[in-house]
Amino acid sequence: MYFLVRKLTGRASGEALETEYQGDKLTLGGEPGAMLPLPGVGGDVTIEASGGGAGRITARRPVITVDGVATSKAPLAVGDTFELPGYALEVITPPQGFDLALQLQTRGKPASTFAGDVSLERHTWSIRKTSWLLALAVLLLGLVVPAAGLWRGDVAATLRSTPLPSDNLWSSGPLVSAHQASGVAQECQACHQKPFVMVQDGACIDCHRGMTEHVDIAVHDAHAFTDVRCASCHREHNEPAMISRRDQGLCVDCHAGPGAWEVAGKAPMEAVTAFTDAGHPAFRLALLEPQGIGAAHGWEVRRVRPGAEPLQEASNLKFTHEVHLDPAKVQHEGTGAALECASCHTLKDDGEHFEPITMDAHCRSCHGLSFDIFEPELELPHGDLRAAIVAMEAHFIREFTDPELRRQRAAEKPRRVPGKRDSAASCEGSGLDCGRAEALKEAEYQFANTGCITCHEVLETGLADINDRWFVQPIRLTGDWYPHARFDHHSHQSQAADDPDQVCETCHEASTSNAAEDILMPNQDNCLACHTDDKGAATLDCVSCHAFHPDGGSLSRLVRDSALLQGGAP
Amino acid sequence: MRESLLGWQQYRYLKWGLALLLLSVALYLTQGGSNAAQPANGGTWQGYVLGTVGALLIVWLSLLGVRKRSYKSTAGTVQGWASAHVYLGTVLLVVATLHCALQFGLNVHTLAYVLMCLVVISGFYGLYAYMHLPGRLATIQSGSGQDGRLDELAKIDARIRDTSQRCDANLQSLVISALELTRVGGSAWQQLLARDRSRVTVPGSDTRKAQAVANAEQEVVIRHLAGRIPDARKQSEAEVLNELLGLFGRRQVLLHQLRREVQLRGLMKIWLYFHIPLTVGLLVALVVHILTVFIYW
Repeated sequence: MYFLVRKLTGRASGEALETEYQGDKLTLGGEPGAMLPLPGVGGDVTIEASGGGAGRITARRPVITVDGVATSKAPLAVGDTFELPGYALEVITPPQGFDLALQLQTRGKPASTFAGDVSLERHTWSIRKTSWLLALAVLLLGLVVPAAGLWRGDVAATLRSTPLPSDNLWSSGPLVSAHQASGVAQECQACHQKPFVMVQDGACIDCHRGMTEHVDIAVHDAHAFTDVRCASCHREHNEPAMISRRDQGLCVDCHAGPGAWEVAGKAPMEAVTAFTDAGHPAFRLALLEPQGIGAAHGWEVRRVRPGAEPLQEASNLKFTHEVHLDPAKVQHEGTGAALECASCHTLKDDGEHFEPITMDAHCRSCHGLSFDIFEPELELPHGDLRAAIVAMEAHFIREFTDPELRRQRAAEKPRRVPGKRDSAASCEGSGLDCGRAEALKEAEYQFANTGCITCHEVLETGLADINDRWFVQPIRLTGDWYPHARFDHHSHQSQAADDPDQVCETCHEASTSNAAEDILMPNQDNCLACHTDDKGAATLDCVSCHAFHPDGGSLSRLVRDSALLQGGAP
Repeated sequence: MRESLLGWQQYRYLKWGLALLLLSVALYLTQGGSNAAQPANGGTWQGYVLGTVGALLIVWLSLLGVRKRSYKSTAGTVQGWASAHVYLGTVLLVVATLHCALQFGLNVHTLAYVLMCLVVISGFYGLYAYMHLPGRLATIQSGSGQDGRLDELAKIDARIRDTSQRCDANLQSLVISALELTRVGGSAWQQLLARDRSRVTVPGSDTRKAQAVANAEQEVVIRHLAGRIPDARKQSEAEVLNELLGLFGRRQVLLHQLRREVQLRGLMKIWLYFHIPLTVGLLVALVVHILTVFIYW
């Protein structure tokens, strides 16, 4: 089919350009392949001729305007006029050989081919839609989905075990390594049990069953601790991870006021503001003291601060560090080397306290209890006065009742041993009497001259019975001088010194102590020399030395859940 | 206008911003250390203060979008708001960083922080665009706007089409293809790059086939028209060629200006496609951040 398009140029009256087209239909519009290019017209407009100058126009969109009405298809006959955006068209009588003819004229402003491509609006995402999408995504992934686990434990577990967003996304920081345990690390609700409620103490005590309160609530007013939560001092999710407050306020917030925590009948507590000479009260020694004659009523600890009164230990031991540490006077039994602190003092595993000094382990190798020069390997039992006397009596009665032994001993010239009594060369009387008499003499010698009395206070009662005549005062050495403080000997042994004993001597002046009564414990000044508040890294915080949860405190799981801390009457 | 955005009222908001910055840093420094209950973070009282200031700043900065549109408002001039928006938005970056004490993780809190950083960074670009691009645009526009340029281009194209009717078929198809294969703008990316992707179909001859070649800055078609003028056998043909050459010369200038204008307008606007959705995302992330902190208190 042949189409003719007559285009009015608009320059001179009637000037027109005629173009012929051949095809089964005529395509018009702004599309690149259109036979008749009409920039700005979309919708794939097509015209088909039906003969006699008539035809039919169709488009995919209603871009055709016929009599002011937009449509997407219309029949065409000669004389019809219609419009496309920016163009007016008229169907004219086709010349000979043509099936359809159109006259075309531009209308109004000519549209540009790329008018739609010169602004961002149509080629970017919609700001409004994107805002909504982003907002919804953040809300869903950050809040709604994770929050589904708040009400259902199994939902929370599912979320956490899949790549789905879980409440782990809400964590504000790492947990301390101790809490990186299964059942705690991922399970937020192990601690955060109720939404919008701070972590409750019960959550901590669920696991920390043995935790004790700061005080024994049988002695102290429990109400003072009502407002103190575990989390008041133990803060999680910090960076760097830390679980306990270490600042001075931890203790000083409550202990800065003198006598704030007074207990009836006891001296008020002294104020603490810092670990300085002025800010910290002098260390209080725990002096172990015998009660009654011969500690008949046991031993009691008296807490006493060093003051005007010269303090002495009342252990009943006779001992001098000065002599024992003098290599000219005392040497190691096996090697002949001088004694050192560690010869007797063995640190316990806690690094703070020492194993007890015992006769058998530490004294006997030099201070043996042999009592018969003929049998020097024979020794008295230690620690039991009665057993010692029985042992002596039994030994000497046997010696005087065995004729063979007697003869043998009489023949031998007894060797003179320094510090040992010469036994009787002969005795007139029965073996029993002689043995008893010899035992009494030996006992007198042991108790009053050279044996027991070397280290012990021995009381002469004046009674006739050998069993009642002497009383050896019991010995108790103080094992814990500062029971409310902790100390690590290990870390202090790293001080620079050639000889380990020099390190000990920096705090415990043993080599100049001439009496067991001397208290060789360092006082506060000794610690402050290195650890006072302005010493930088060596500065100590309160909990470096003092435990907040002491052994004597009430069991938290009993107290924290009880009515006592919930505001009930004590 | 440009100076007054930053220097508004003798740099009033620069001073405010600096004061806020110094206060925030001072507050931050009172945290931590050996004698603090916990290290610096968003959970100390200083952290709460910094966080509250940051959240209020975010909300207020977002309100610029509202203030801009409320023409009746007397709450300060829009220019003053914009000046404060720039300075306080910049300080927000520091306030939020101090609030979180540089503690980051795979969590909603860091999400809010990252969104905030993206918003501020896109804002920095926006500031750059507002400071520098309008001047460049003005030198191009020189009186006529984009619509005028498009109209003129459409008229020139129509004249080229008409004029080309008087040429031989080869030249006509070359000229029409140059019109049809001209590309300006396109996708957002193409608008911003402003690379001329126009092509033209060079008619084939006996020895080679017709093929479309790059026609950047209309150079190929202009060179072709110029090359044809000496060969013109008739006066009328030379006139037509001359006319086409003149039209394509003008078209070249117009297209170049149009592309550059489209590019500059795009560069001035594109950041808003990030800045605003990210701001809305940030507001929601901020709410999520605050809520979740207190859900698991």
